[in-house]
Amino acid sequence: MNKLPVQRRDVIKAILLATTAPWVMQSKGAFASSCDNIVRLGATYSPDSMNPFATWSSFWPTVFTYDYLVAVDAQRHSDRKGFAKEWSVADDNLTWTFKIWPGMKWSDGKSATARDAAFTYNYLRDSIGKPDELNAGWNSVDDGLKNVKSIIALDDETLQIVTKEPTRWPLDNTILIVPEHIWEDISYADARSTFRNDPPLVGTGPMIVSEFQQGQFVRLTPNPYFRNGQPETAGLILHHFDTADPIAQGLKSGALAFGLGLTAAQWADLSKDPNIQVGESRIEQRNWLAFNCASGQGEGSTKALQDPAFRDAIGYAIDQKTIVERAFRRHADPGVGLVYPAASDYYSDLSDIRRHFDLAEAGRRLDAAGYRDTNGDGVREDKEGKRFQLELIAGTRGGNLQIPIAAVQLIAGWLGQIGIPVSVTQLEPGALSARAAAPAKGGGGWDLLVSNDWGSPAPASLLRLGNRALIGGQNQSYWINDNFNQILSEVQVTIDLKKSQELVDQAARLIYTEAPYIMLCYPFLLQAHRKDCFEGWGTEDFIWSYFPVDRLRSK
Amino acid sequence: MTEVVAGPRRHVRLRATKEFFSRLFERVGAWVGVAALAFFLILAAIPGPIVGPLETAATASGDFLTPPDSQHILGTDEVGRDVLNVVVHGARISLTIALIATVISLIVGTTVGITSGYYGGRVDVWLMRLTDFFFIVPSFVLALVIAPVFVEVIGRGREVLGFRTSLFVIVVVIGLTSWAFVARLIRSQTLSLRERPFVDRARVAGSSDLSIMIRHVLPNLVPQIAANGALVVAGAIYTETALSFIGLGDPVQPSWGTLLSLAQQAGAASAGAWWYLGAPGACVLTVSLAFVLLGNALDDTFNPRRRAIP
Repeated sequence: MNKLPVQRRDVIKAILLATTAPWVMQSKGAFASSCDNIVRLGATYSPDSMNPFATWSSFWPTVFTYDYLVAVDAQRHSDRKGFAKEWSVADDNLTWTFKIWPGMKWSDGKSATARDAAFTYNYLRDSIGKPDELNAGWNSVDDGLKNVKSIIALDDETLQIVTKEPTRWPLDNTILIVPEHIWEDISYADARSTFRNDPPLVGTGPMIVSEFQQGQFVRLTPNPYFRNGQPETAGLILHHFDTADPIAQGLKSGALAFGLGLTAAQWADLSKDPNIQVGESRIEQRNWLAFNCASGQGEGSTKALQDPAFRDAIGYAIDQKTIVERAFRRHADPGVGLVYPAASDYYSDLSDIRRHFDLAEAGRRLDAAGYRDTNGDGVREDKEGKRFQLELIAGTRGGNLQIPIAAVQLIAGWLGQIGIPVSVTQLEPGALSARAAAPAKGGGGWDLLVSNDWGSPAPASLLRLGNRALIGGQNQSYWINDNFNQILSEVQVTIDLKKSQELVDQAARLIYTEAPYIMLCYPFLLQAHRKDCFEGWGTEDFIWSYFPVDRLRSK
Repeated sequence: MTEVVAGPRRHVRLRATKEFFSRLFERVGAWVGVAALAFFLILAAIPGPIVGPLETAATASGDFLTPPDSQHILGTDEVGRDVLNVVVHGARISLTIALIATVISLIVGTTVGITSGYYGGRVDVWLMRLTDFFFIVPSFVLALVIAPVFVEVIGRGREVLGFRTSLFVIVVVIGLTSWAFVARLIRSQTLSLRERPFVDRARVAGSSDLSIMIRHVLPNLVPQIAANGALVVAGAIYTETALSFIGLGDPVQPSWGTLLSLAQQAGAASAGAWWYLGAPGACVLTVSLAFVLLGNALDDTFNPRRRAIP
């Protein structure tokens, strides 16, 4: 009788063991055998829909399925092409002709022609000015599209785009080409919101989205009709995580073959693993400190923020080199001007007008501009006699690489040393976009903002931080300058690279001297992949196209 | 005359206190709790002489995420700060937040509890419905909602009672969300106390309601308040850690929760930097365990029913 409880316990133990054992063994199996010719990727963002017209967040799976017409990678790399095989522009710099791959097919077997490309562009263009204008996602109406006069398919293999003013937009745009036979029945209202574009998708890219579990994973299968031949791998699974920790762990254990968005600590740790190859690539992200330049509605706590001399002086108190070394562990280029090094055609280090880090110089310049510490309490006063106490808000927009809090600590420390105390608030993306919205939409009221943006190598994107039309959107300092906008509108209608470079340089110098932004750094994208199962990983530019999922082979 | 009366009374009190402490320290839990608390209070009181001034990203000298060695006993963090240094400085912030939040919580809870129990009737009903609200809503979720609103209302950048706003907000929010169960306990005790003869006697002698509550009821509630206060502190430390962990703390003044949050953001767990996650984690665990042990010991000592059972 006394032995009964023990026996009962044994029975329960046995039952527990029996029920968990298969699960444990199964999960072990799932993690151990990653060499099953399925490429597993990990990333820290989460698409909410597969409809590129309705969301910005589905970029990574959909870019494997849909093609651009040309865009960034096809101009940089001869072995990565989009929907168009080749292209040319007429002497008037207005008429562009694109040759589409002959005999190309959508993944459902229907032929993919210039008509599909024309349909996609016109679908967007025809929505301009309508209540349901398509401006809610990756495929959005932009300034370039408004500059277009006509987009027509001359025949199945020839697309013609005629623009009103000369522009490189027909090459640079990143609109994903979707099949006409699927999208022709979708109304604008549905396309920008409720239509989820459920898998399986129909595209011309190497990997087709075939299953989507929101917040968990996207499964992609090889496109049998891909123009360079069906990819050799059996498929691809893109896992979504909230943090980078499971990605690093997944790479170590072999559950993932490739991971993006690692932290510096994880990257350093993974680089010691013999099975893992780490890499870093320059991207079009820039991290900056913005001043609230608005006057009137939405202005900051002091008028000094509107004074270029004040902002310039602060520029001497920011040490980009230390930020790169301490906060980014050298996984970034130190910040200079608007142009990131990834846009190599336009980058300049502005060495002749560049500010250098010197706290004493910053102090002298503040004194000279009239921001002195008159009562000797260690804190400067502005011209109205009010003590400085600036509010710094910091946050990262969704999808961008995080700014380490150490960078903000450094900035707050330096400003404190020159007699400008700063209080720091970290904001999550939702709160950030509410506070950094245009003053007319209830934003503003802050003094300093540490944040970032991720653009493209096109001039319009490089210069958008100062574009008055984008106040509260991409122009986060609310800075307005007529000269700058004049240059900007000129750049947008310039095709000649040399001329365009000159204009960008002019604009970059103008905004550097006026200093509504202090560039902190241009961070690198840290990634790692396992060496044991697949080969064919390239080394650079992972982010702009389907590369390298079209050429991976199992070892 | 007063001298003659006060002498023996003081004597009696002294003896009662002595007896109380000797009974309290019969329990191992009390010893462990008090020792751990004393240790952390010393850290919090004088962090400077122990580990030097707070290191920031600007003054950090170490390498990145180095494991513990002779120079950095607890290793370094992702910007090269000494983890021991930031953890000791974090003690001050975490404990201050927890203790002040507890004081707020006890004051609110006791006031509501005594008022409700003493007056009864409609006052009781309304105050208890209010208490029920704070009881039912999970305090962490409530804190999560209130914190940003508070920051918005108070405004940032100013110092309130010597705290930066963001810390002050955490203090107030924890204080205002953790008083409900104190109020319930105090009310129930007051219900029984107000029927005692000494309350009637005071009333007959002409004492006002307020005076009865403060001078006659409140002193009899001290055991309950003390025992529960210790438990509230433990909860407050957890809440503070959790709020800071999800980024509502002050990123420049590191509390233990903020440190855990920074460690997580830096990917310390997957990079194998156990010292960075472990040090603040162990501190949170030790301090809240200490408060719970002490609270239980106090409860055991005060509570005659639990004392009766050996």
